[in-house]
Amino acid sequence: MAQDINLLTTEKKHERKMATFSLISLVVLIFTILTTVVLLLYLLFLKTNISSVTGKQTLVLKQLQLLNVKKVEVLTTRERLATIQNIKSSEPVFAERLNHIAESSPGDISISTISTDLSSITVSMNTANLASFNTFFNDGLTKIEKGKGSGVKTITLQSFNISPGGSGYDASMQFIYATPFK
Amino acid sequence: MTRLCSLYTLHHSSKKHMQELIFFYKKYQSIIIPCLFFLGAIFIFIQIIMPTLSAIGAQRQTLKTEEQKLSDYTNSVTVLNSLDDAQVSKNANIAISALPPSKDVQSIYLALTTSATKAGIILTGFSVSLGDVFGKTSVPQNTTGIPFVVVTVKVEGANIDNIIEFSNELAKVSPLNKVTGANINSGSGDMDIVFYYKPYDLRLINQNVVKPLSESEQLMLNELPQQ
Repeated sequence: MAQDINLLTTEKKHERKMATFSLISLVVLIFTILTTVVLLLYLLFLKTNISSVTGKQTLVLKQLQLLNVKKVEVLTTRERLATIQNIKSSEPVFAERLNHIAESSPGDISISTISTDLSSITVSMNTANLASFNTFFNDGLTKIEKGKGSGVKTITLQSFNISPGGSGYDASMQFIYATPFK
Repeated sequence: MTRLCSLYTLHHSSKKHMQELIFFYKKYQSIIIPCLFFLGAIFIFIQIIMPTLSAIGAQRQTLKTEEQKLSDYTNSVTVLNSLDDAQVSKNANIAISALPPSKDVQSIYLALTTSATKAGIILTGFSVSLGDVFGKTSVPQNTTGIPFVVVTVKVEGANIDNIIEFSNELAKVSPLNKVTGANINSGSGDMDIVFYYKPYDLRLINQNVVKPLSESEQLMLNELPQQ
């Protein structure tokens, strides 16, 4: 008898389960449809917005067209300045390097010959006072080497002689730089 | 008659099948309908929701880009309206004069003679390597990719101070140039100078985003030879 009652309960339970299952499936379907509608509406909203923004762009571009000459002048100025900056920052300046050498040599040393190639400067120097050369070799060369942005890789004393006639001393030095002039 | 009989049998048979189907449906209705609902939901998700989500992502990105463009264009109009016409033209002339669009031999000659006079150097001659007019590859370019003209000047009365002064004077005049080498012996010899130029970039005509000169750009402009 008790088992009969249990069987009836199981059937009811099964029906209830099926009803719940049906309800859940319906809810899922409705939720999916609603989500789809909302998403499609949002997509439509986005497309409308894009059209509106594009329309505004056209209007602004018409205003910009009226200022075309001024626009090109400003853009050209900026483009030229960027290139000039590029040129100035990319290459060592020959004059600066030569200036380093001139400033680092004592006043009574005269430079008679200057010769350059892509990455070196060769100078011939002359002085009546040997002590000046001594000062230059000890202090001047260090200054040149350690000077700001000097870029000197090697300094070579190519020759050192007594001047013809014995009136002074001649020296020839080559300054080789890590980066070329151009 | 036989044909009629067979038709009747067929009709009867399909009716029977239909009844079986209806019976089957009624028996399993509580399972079939929810399953169909789930399948429908899955179908909608795969066929509509996923592509729509993807489209929304793309459209949002497009909207963002277009809004940014609109903002840039509006800012450009504001910037251009705020700038003084005469000043803009003057700035452009200074920049173009410093970096001309072509090999301007007249300007180069003027720059050399003016600087030589100020530095106390006598120019006895100069030669210009123009390169081929039409041969793009034969136009000399430096490491920055900017074309230039190489000028070799013959000088007299030059010592190291004159040469430095000459280089410094050249730096103050247009077109933009650099002394790249010298071979001077007892005051006379020759010097190599490069003068830069750059053809106009025609793409600028179609560019619609304009920003004002930055502080560093303004500073550099002020350092360029003023006309």
